[in-house]
Amino acid sequence: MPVIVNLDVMLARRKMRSKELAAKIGITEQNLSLLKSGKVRGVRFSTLARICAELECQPGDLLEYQPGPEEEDGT
Amino acid sequence: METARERARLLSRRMEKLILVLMAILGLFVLYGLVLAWSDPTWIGTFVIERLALPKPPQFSTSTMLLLAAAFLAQAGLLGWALQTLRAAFREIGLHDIVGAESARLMRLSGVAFLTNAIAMALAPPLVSLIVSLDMPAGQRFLAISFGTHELLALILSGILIVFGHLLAVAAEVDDDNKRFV
Repeated sequence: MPVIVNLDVMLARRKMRSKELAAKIGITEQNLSLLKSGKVRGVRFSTLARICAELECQPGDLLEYQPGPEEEDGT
Repeated sequence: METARERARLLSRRMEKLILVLMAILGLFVLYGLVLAWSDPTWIGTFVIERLALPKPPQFSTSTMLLLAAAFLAQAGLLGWALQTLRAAFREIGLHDIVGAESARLMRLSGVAFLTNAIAMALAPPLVSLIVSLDMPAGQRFLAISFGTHELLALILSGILIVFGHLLAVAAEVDDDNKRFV
């Protein structure tokens, strides 16, 4: 997957747990876990904005592009 | 949105109960027919002749009565199967999600079941007339063919159910895809 999600890195920097972030931004812990592992189809801008607001960061801190083959199902 | 989904689930559960009532009524009709046949074995032949305006044979044989009974039971069975699959589809919607792969599959299956029933309804007059004419003297046997608005309506409605089931399946795929967005 060309887009890498560095959410776990930001969580470690801000010393916040996944459960706490999930509760604050209003998504399930399972969905947050899927997002961290990059196994989601996409992220809504509203979710990205809430994550950035809670972690006091920029979208670029969370998402990174590395050229590579995309999987067939788009994940 | 959650309230609307809950209302849809409630409606599905009510539809399931309504179809169960219809199935019970069908069962009662079949039972009534069987009880009548027990007391007067020739009633079914008389009923068919009057319904389809067929010539009456001199006498109804046991085999003719049995064949007619089998034909009616088969028709009732097909209708019962169609109602059961439709009930299962509504049950699935009521228990889980409005748009789901399983409910779509069951809706399509019920469409196929109703289509089969509609085809059986169209084939019933020629089949029944053939059976009745078995008791007619040689040279007076007949075959009746009829296709009316009832049969046409049944075919159209079953086709609509099949298409609706297919649309539900596509909607389920889209919904599943959307769920993978966080």
